[in-house]
Amino acid sequence: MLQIQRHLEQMRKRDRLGVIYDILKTIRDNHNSIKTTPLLRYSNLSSQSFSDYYKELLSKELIKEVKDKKGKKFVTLTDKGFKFLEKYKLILGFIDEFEL
Amino acid sequence: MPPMFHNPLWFVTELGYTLIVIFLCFLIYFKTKDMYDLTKHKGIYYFRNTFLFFGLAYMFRFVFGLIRMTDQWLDIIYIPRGTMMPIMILFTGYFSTMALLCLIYSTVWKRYSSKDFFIAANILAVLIAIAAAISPEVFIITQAILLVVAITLSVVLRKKSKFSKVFLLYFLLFMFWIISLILVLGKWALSFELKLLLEIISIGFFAFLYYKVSKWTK
Repeated sequence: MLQIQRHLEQMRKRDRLGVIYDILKTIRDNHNSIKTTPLLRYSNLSSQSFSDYYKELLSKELIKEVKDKKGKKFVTLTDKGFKFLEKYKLILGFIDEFEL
Repeated sequence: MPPMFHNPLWFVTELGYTLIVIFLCFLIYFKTKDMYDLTKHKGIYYFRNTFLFFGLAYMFRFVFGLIRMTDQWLDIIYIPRGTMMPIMILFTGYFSTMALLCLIYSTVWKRYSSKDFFIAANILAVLIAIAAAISPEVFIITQAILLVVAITLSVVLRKKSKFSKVFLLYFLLFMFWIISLILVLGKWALSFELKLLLEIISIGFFAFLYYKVSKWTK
């Protein structure tokens, strides 16, 4: 119970970068291909909030939408998205070090 | 008392000092580009701009010193010092004020976020630049006032009781800038040895800052 509460607390405290990291990580952990509906579910965000982040990630070219042969839409990471995941800890460290 | 740049050695050390500081400032700016492109983080944006503006401020500060020196060196070439020097101080004032304001804002933007920051900062920087062009002493005083504002804001807005190492770094960045201004704008000349010592310490400080940045931007 305490662990769940702690987890929920952590989820609430996620900042913008943390949310972006979680979304990108979810995509990567799903073999770099996931539909938007499960992605929304995994992200623990409201629909509106998820939609805002989703648009932002598309505009920043961290993710891209692809369609399979049947025309179904999937989300995958771009090279920039992979780079973000790779550098996330360094970025956090930098922000923390310089109190930005 | 000899003129400030009468001795060519003064010029060589000043040139070396300025080039190294500008190089380190621009290195910090370009090293953090990747990080900013990935995140579009506001704090990183203003932190980067601080060093871009500082680099430019140090450059114009040097040009100002160079024009001042030419009066004693090149009697055969006419240099309109009366016009050029205020223009150079104007640019120095603008860029340095922008650098200091960006540095302050990079640390408080989470608590005090304003869409109009850049406009307000530009207006203030232009006003200070004009004041600087009229009176170099006023310029130094305004930079010192900004330092006091920075300290006050960091105490009031941040409400952090524990000692912050990074604020000591920012404080030193302000201080070295003000000292470098005094070295060029001050009407009295420091001894060469003292000036050289201050410049070496300043370079060491910028190198340390660069080292701290490069740890996270591999």
